Amino acid sequence: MFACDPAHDAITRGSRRQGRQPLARSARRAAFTLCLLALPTVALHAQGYVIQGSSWAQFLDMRPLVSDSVPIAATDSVSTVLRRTPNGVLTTCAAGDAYCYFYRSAPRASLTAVMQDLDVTAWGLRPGLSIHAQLRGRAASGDARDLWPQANQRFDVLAAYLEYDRSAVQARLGRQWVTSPLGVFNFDGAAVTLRPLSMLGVSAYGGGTLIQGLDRPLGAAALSPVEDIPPVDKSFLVGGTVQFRPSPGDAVQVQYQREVRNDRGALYSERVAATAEFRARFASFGGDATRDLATETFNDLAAHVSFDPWHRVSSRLEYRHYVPYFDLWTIWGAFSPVGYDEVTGTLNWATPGARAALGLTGGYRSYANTYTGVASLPLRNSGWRVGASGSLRAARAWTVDGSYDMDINFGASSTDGDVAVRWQPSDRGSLALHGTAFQNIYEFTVGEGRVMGAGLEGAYRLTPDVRVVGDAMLYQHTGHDTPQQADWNQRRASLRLEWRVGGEPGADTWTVGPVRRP
Amino acid sequence: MKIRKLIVPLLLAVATATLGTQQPRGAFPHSRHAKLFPTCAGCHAGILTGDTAKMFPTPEACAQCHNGTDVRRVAWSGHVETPTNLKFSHTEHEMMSAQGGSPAQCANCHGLQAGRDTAWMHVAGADPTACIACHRHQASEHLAANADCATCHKTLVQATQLSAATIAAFPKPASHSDPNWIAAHAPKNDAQAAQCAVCHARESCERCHVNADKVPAIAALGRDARVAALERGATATYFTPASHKAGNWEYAHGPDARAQTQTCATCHARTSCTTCHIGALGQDVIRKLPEPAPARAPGVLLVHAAAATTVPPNSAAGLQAGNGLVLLASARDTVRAVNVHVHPDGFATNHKDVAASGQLNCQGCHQPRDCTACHDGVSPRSNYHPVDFMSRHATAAYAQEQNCSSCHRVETFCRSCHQKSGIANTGGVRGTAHSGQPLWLLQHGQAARQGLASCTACHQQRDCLRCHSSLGLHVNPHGPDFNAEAMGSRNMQMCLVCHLTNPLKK
Repeated sequence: MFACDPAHDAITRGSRRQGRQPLARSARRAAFTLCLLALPTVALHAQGYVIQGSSWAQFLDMRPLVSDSVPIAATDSVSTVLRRTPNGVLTTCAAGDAYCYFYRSAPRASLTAVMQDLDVTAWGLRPGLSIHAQLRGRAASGDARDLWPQANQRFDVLAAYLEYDRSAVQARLGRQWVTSPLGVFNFDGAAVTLRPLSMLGVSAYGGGTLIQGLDRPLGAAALSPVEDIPPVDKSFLVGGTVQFRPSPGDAVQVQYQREVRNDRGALYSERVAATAEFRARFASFGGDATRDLATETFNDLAAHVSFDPWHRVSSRLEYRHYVPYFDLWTIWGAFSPVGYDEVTGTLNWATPGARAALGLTGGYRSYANTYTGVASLPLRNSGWRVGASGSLRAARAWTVDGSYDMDINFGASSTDGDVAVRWQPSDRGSLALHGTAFQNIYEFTVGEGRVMGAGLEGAYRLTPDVRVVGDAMLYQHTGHDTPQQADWNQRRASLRLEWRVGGEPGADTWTVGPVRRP
Repeated sequence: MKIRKLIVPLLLAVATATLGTQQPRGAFPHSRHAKLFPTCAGCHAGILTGDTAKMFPTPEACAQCHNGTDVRRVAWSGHVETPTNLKFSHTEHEMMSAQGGSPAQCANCHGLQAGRDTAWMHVAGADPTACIACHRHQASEHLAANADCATCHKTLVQATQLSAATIAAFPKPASHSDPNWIAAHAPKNDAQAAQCAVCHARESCERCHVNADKVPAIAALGRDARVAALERGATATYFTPASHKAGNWEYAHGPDARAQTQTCATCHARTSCTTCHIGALGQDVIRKLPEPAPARAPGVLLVHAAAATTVPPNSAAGLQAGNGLVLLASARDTVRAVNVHVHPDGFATNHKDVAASGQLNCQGCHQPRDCTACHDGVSPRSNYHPVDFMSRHATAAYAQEQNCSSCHRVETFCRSCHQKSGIANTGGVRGTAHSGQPLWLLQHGQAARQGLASCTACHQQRDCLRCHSSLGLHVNPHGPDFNAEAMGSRNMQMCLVCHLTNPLKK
């Protein structure tokens, strides 16, 4: 696994020079396959290992949308571009076009998707040395199979790296992830963290950028189906952090990261971030800032204080300034997007043993001036939301959960209500009846949808390391403002098998549930 | 001190019970023989001298009268010693009394005390309060916590005559019912340890104490098969120490655990820690804790809520589970659900800062896959979103309360699905996606600047270039604060998507 990525990178570079991309891809796949085949062998020679698997199958039945048209002569004018058919369907008509267009629901289609995740960790080869891999296989069938994300990508190596972890140094080599306030990035490369002092950590990382959640480089090959102006070349990621932790409750981190086009002729991003957290006895406070050096914009500027004076009550107040971030290989950043300022508060309470729990949340946001639009045709530039959730263990094996949220916002608003009654006679299994109702109101689209759903969900632990989970839900779309509005009636069912072999690092034995005495 | 208050009353109660059981001995109708025997020593001369042969009359002595001729025969085969844990010595007490100038009289204890039948030969078992008459300096009552139990009682291990049933029927001192008792019951000196030993054996402690074999006071108790039988199947009971109730305990228990590992080991085996500590953090301390073993107390066991059951998303319980709350298993066969605030409520959605700043050492308890389980963007395992989020995600997408791009790549996830499901329509005016506004063309500028991330979930770049480019209608999309140099210096290729020539060259 150690040599997997350098090897395939070298092969790829060599083949590119010779104009033999297909061969390079084949070699890369072969190299990865060899590495993966070697994984179990290496794991078995390790002092310890844990292999976790999740086999997941999902059935979905729904009606996709399709674009349809009607002769303009068959419609009546509503506004400059909007016209209505005699049966009430709102259409959009372009000047000079003989047809007007509208969406309608296509015939019912279904899909069945299967995903297999495999997480492998093995350690004890050498002191501090371990290997990690995260693999995913997927397949989808049915007439709506394309709706499943990445249905055509059968196999992903999401992570495969070698790790050396000692108290003063940690190093990783291979396909890995880095998570930070700037986002989550996966790349083929290396990362090193040095901890010369207990309160100080310095890290650096770099490697070829991959698309989030996929094992393919960020490039035209992967993006062309969905983006007609993809990045002109792949890129590599470099970054570093300095972390200062003067006490167990206080910490500050500063990060710099840039994504460079492979030919080094341009940057795809250049950003910095700073995060700080401090903790007092009953409260903690902190904040973070991320800044896009290319647009000279603070994408996130947030501060929060959490107050926890009593063990069963917690509260949090947060201010956030947000502006969306876009990579420099797109033109979106040049459109000067604006963001909003928001204040949110949450309050949670629970009785001892969480026999009852209650959560309240609320927030208000206001968007910055866009310097666009027409005064007489204003769009919403503020929003608010409130929500409440609660749970009650009515009897030893029965629990009722419920929540309600209302979010009135620019672009789309919604109200949601969920309730679940759960029966859990033992820690081995549970059965729950779910009910849900929600309504979406779109600011830019005529019509709204009210959806009601109900279903069953169950889980049963066959052994301490094997669990099966299943659910089946039926959603009924009720209430249309206009004929032929999108039909979101759905039937969903899923079945998941989770299993584990081995024990976690550090745990000589793995026990789930009480130890039995003789 | 509390122990002593408990033990002495306990022992006195035991004595009472024990003496009460002497009444079968009293089944000998002493009162009916009152006119026959003028002294106690006639039958019990050995009691005071220590001559066991003369402590009780022989069957032959009874048969002198009960010979079937003068008086009916009786079934008396001699004295049978009554099981007791008393180590009271009549001889010693008689000697002490004699030295004190007032020789002991049997009637002083056996029937002539105040409140009893004081008639001659109306014999009863000794009242433990009589003991207190002299031992008052230490014990206010029989089961008082400050009683010196060992003065009158053997240890339980030594009291081999007692049956398991008798041991099980030991009275419970009032102090043991104090809510704070379990937190403070450890003996603080040898005298308190001796009190414990009168009623308890090592198995009594091993029911709950995970590190019983490492605690000298427990090891000193000795083993006892009767107690083992009584404890077998009994439920371990654990309490939450005051320190654990502090708001930051889950974060800040490390130094205490390192400094007082054996204190932790009282209630915790390694599995208590390794439920969360799956990384390297604290492993040197955890290794000092006992390993779980069939013969060992289970200790407080922590089970991840997600592993124990499924929790509905979008609910208070769901959020808590997502925040890493765990279930506390405290018993042998039962799991008592207790929420432990490893992370505060809402942590699933706002853990960015504590994770990024390094305030929490995430790797101490989490594997990288715990992050990617959600952040890989297409994992089906997380219950992060509410049910049917596909149908109701529009509001969240516009609001970006949680940055969607933290987990999802907009092009390969959002736009891909929108295109395949027919929601995204590119290449011109071909649908009613923006039919909710009368003059969308005039309004889309504000909408785009306020919700550009949502726009890109459907639209490709070329959709905008129809107007916003040098090849299009030359409509300038840049805002008032647009810094062309800052962007152009980093990626001129991006500028040239819209501009035919380098716009920075004037």
